[in-house]
Amino acid sequence: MSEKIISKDKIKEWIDVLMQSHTVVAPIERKDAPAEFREIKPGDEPIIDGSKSMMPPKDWLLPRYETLFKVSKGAEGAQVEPAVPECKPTVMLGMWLPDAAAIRVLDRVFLDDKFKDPYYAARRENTVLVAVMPAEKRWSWFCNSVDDVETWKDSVDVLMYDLGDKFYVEGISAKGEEIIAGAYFTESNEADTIARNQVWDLFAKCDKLPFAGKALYDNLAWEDPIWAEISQKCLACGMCSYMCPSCSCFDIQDETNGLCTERYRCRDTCQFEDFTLMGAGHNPRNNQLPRSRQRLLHKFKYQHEQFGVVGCTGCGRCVELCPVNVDIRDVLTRTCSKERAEEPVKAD
Amino acid sequence: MSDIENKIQEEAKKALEGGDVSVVIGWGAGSAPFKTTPVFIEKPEDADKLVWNPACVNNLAVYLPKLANDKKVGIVAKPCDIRSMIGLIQEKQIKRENLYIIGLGCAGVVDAFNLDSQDFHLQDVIGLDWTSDGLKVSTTNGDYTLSCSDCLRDMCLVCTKREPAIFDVKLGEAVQPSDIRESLIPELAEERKAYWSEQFSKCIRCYACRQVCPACYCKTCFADRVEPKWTAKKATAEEAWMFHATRMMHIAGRCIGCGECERICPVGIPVAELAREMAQAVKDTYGYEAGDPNQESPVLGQYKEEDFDPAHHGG
Repeated sequence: MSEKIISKDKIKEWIDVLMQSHTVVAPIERKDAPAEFREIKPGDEPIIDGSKSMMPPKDWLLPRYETLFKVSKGAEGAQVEPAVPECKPTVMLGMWLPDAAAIRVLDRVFLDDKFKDPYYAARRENTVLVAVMPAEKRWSWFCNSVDDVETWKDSVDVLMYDLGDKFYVEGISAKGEEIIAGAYFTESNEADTIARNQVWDLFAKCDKLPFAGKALYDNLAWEDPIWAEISQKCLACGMCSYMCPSCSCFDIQDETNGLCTERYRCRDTCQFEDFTLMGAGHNPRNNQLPRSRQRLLHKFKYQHEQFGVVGCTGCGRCVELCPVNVDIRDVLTRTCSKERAEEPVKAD
Repeated sequence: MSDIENKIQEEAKKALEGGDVSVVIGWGAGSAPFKTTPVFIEKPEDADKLVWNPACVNNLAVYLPKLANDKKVGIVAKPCDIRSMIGLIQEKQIKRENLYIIGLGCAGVVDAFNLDSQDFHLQDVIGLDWTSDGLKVSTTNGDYTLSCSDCLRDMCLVCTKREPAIFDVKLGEAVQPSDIRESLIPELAEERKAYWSEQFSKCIRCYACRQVCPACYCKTCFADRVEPKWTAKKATAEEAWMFHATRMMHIAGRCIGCGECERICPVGIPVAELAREMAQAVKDTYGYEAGDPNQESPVLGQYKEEDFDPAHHGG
C-alpha cells in the first residue's frame, strides 16, 4: 500500500489525465440540490472532498431509470434491441467511505454467484472506487455503531483524506495504485500522517450508540411495539429508501409506444403500498406496520442472513431527511436495549 | 416559549381527562434539538411529551382524514395547519365537531437545511428559540442569533396569516414577518420552461411531496394507477413534469401554502412556488382563497352565474 500526498490545486490535472483513459464520475453540484454522481464533462467542477451532501453513488451504478431492452415489430418480425451498457473503465471519485461500503451491499445483491445482473456488472466490474474522508463530521453519522469501519477500507481501491489544502492518498488495491502514479503525487511526511489519523478518528471514533457491537440481527424482533409507533407517524414516502446508498429494490415496467415496447427498471421501495400488491389484488403487507418493520428487518436481519453484511452503513441520510424524524438510530437503540441483548458493547 | 409549551401540555391533558378526546396529535422532542417528531398522546400523563419550538415544522393535519373520521381528535396546530383542516372540513373529509384544536399564534418555523450552512456545526446545537431579533440558536460554543430570512422555512417568509383562523383554545401571539420574499420563478415563458425542466430533472419520484400533503388524501393517486396509466414511473424530467403538473392542478384552489412539499423534497424542487402561483391564479379569477373559514365549500364545489370561464372568454 502506498501513501502519498496530492495538493488540491493539482486535482484538476490528475482528473484530466484520468479522463484520457477512463470515464471519471464524481459528485457534480446542481441547482438547490445535493450534488449528483455523473460523468465529469469539460467545465464541470466536481466536489471530491466529501464536504457537501450528495446523492447516493448508486445513482450511477444502479440508475434511477434504465432501459433493459426494446422490442419493436417491423416488416421482418419482432426485433429485440438489448441495452446492456458497454462501459469504459471508470473511476468514481468523491464518495465517502460509508457509501463505498454500501456498494459492497449492492455487489452482494447484483453480482451474486447464482445470478449476476448484466447491467450492474457492466458498470461495476470496470470501476475503480476512490473514497474520501471529509475534514468535518456531520451530526447524523453513526457508521462506527453499525460495523467495524476499519474493515471498510477493503471495499475501495484508493482512500483519500481531506487535510485542508491537500489530500492524503492511500493506494489500497493494485487497480488503485495504477491511478495514483502521476508526478503530482508526492511523498507524505510524519505531520501528514498525524493529520490523516485525526481525520480518520473524527469518523471512526464518533461516540458509539447503545446498539454498537450488538448482534442487531438477533435483537430485532418481529413482535415489537416500536413498529406500531413508527408506522403511526410514517407517511410512507419512499425517501429513506430512495436516498439510501444500500437500498436496492427496483420495479420493472413496460411502456409501449405504437409498435415499440421499452422494458425499463426504476426505483421501488418496501414503503409503498403497491410494493407487495399481487396481481389478483391480495396484499400480504396491507398496512404500514409490516412495511415499516420490513425495512429495518431487511437491512439488519435478512441481508445479514443472506450475505453476511448489514444493509446500512450509518451514512445518516435517512436520519437527516425523514419528514417525520423517524430516526433509525433511535429505533435500533430501543429495539436492542431489551433484555434479549446479552453481548456487551465493544470497547474502543 | 416554554410557558406556551406548558400551556399546550395543560390543555392537552385537560382535553384527554375530559374523556371525549381520545388522542392529541402534537409535536414531541426530535432526535436532535433542531428536529421535532409527530406524537400521538393518548394518556393525560403523557401530555408533557408535547413541545413547542421553532422546529415544529410538520403540518399534522395530514394525519386527520384517517384518525378523525369516527372519533374526536385533539390537535396542536399552527395557523397554516389549521387552514389545511378548514379545507378538509369543507371537502367533508373530517367533521369540525371531531376536532379539538389547540391553535397557536405563529412566528414562523425553521428549516433544518437552512441551519446547515451557518457559522456553527449542527452537532453543537442544543436548542432553538424565537426572540424579538430573530432566531436564537444555542450551541455548546455559545449563542447565535439568525435573521428570519436566513433560517425560516421558505413558505414562512411569505406567510402573513399567522393567527389561527379557527380554534377551541388559542395560545401564543403571532409575529408578522418583517420582510416578504419575492417569487423565485422567472416570469418569461421560455425562461420558466427552462427553469422547471431543470428542477423536474432532479425529481427522484419518491412522492414525499404528495405523502406529506394534507390535501393529497386520494385513496389511490393518479400516479399509482396502472390502468389508465397517466404517468410512467421512470425518473425522467418529462414524467416528473407530468406528475407535478397534474398534482398542481389537483390542489389548485385547495392548497393553503403550508410548504411541507418543499421542505421535505430531498432534491430541493421548489414545488410550493408552483402551488403558490396556482393559488394566486384562483384568487385572481374567483376571489377565493383556500383555508378561509368563511367559505362553506371548495372553489370547485361552487357555481356562480358570473364566474369567469376561460374557455368562453378565450383564455
